[in-house]
Amino acid sequence: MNRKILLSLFLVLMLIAQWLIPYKMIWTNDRTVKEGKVFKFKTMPIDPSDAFRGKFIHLNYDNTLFCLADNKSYKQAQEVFVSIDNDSLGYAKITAISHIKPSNPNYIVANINYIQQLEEDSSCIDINFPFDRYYMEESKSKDAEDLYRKSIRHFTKNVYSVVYIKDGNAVLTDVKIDDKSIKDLIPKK
Amino acid sequence: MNILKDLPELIKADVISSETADKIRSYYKSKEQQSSNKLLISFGILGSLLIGLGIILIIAHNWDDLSNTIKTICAFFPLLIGQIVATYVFIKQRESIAWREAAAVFLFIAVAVCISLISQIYNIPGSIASFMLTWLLLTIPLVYILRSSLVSLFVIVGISYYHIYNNYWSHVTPPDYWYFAFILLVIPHYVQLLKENKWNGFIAFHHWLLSISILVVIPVFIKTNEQLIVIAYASTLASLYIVGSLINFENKKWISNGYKIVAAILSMSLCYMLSFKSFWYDITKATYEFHELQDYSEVIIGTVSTLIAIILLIIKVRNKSIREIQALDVLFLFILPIYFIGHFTTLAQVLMNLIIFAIGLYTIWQGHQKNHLGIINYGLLIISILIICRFFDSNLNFIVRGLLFVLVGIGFLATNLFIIKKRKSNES
Repeated sequence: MNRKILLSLFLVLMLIAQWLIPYKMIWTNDRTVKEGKVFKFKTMPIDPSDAFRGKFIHLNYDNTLFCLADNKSYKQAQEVFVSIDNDSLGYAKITAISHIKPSNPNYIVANINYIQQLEEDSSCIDINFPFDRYYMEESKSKDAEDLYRKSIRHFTKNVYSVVYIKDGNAVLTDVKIDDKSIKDLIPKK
Repeated sequence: MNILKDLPELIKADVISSETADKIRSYYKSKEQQSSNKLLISFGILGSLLIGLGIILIIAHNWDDLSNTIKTICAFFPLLIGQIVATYVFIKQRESIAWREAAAVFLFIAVAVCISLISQIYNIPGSIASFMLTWLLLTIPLVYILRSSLVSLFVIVGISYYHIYNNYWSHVTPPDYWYFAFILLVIPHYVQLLKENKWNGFIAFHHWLLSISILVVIPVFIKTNEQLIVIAYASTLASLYIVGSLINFENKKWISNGYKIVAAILSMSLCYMLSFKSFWYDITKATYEFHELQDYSEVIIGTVSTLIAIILLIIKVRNKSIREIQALDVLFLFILPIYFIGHFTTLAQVLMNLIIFAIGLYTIWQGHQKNHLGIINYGLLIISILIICRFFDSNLNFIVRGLLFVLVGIGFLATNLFIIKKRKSNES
């Protein structure tokens, strides 16, 4: 095949791929929000020295540890399927971790942060939830981060993120403090 | 050009013929064109970079008042412009380096803008590593479609960053070997640049970045025993040094030979590290399961890199005379047995000190042969650093240490004075 035709073909393929990837990101996001189940993930206090990382709030989650009767088949940094369900208070909790895709659509794909070996045949696995950034407008993000930090240190405040989950995809749509969106709590400048 | 002004006078005085004058004029004209081309390329690239980065900053503000749809259109807009310009250049301006590089760089940035803004607008989770990988996968074809050397350089830097991020810093993602696939994809473009032999800054940057990048990824193979990686480093540094002498650098500035400079500095640093007692102490404490050694990733990479270095050494011996073999070309052949001796005896440390001393003396001798003051001082520097290093793990008192420093200083001054005097007497 002529070199120019081949390069033209590659050019067309590259241009299409450059549109397809962002489009797929949006499509997956929309489908998860429309068809997925919504969960409230409770956040936990973060290290105050952890500097503000840009135009987003860095979220640290509570209930990321899951104990199971297995201490051999999982390794640190491994990608696993994490099944999610609501606890009695209405917050999300991990119900199972597995190597194979669960039949229930309420699961996410996440990496193992660390493994605590307990006894001979059991261990606790800490999961890194991938939805740990909530982007804000540049002028509001610093105030939002400060508000988030203050609220999570205040034990009477309920701080959680709203996450839609379907077939391994997770979409973070809001961060709420006492059921009010953090966006509405920041005064307009 | 002053010489151009003088040409009529030189013709009148019969110093040069009018034909020669015409040749001189056309020579300077072509030189002027070349430098204006370089300027055009530089400004083209700089302009694209600034516009691209400016767009990132404007849209990254994440305007709250705009709907997600508008924000999404804004995210795709630079991508659309970049693609239109790239297609135009591909069809109409393929021969212009300035157009090709500027269009490629702009599209390279536009892809990053689009992906990161979509992630930001929709709060799509993902690590910086996965973002980098997607970005590079979507843009690496530009290296061949628009023959963009700058994108090739960006890919080398980007994939090295990805590799470091994914394998050293991030303990929460499993290691992967995308790095090697990307470097292999860039190599044909690099070889093409060398073949064309149009010497420009792009090739020099490739030399530098490739050599640094290769060395940066080696620690990824440390899994069981970190000392074992010394073999891989010694062989890879020798390979880089040999590659630096195989590529034709005639009439080129010495600074463009990144392979030789990086390999020379790091080979000597490795030697100094191996001349310390503490390193060999750790080696003697190391325990191996010998029947498992063939499974160690350090052993596998060590063996592969040593074989590559031996092949390159054979190529060098065949292509050039044996007299052109440098100390750093064969250093790995000495380090390998010394490393094994080090498991059983402290003699290894003594041998390493002797090797550094021998390299220093050999360099001084080479400088003397070439009557090159720079090489002589480099040899003296090698020996001086060896002496300074020995200060740290010896129990000599301050008076002896002080005296040694004074002696080294006198050695430097005396040798330089001797050479300068010799040069003057030769000239007279």
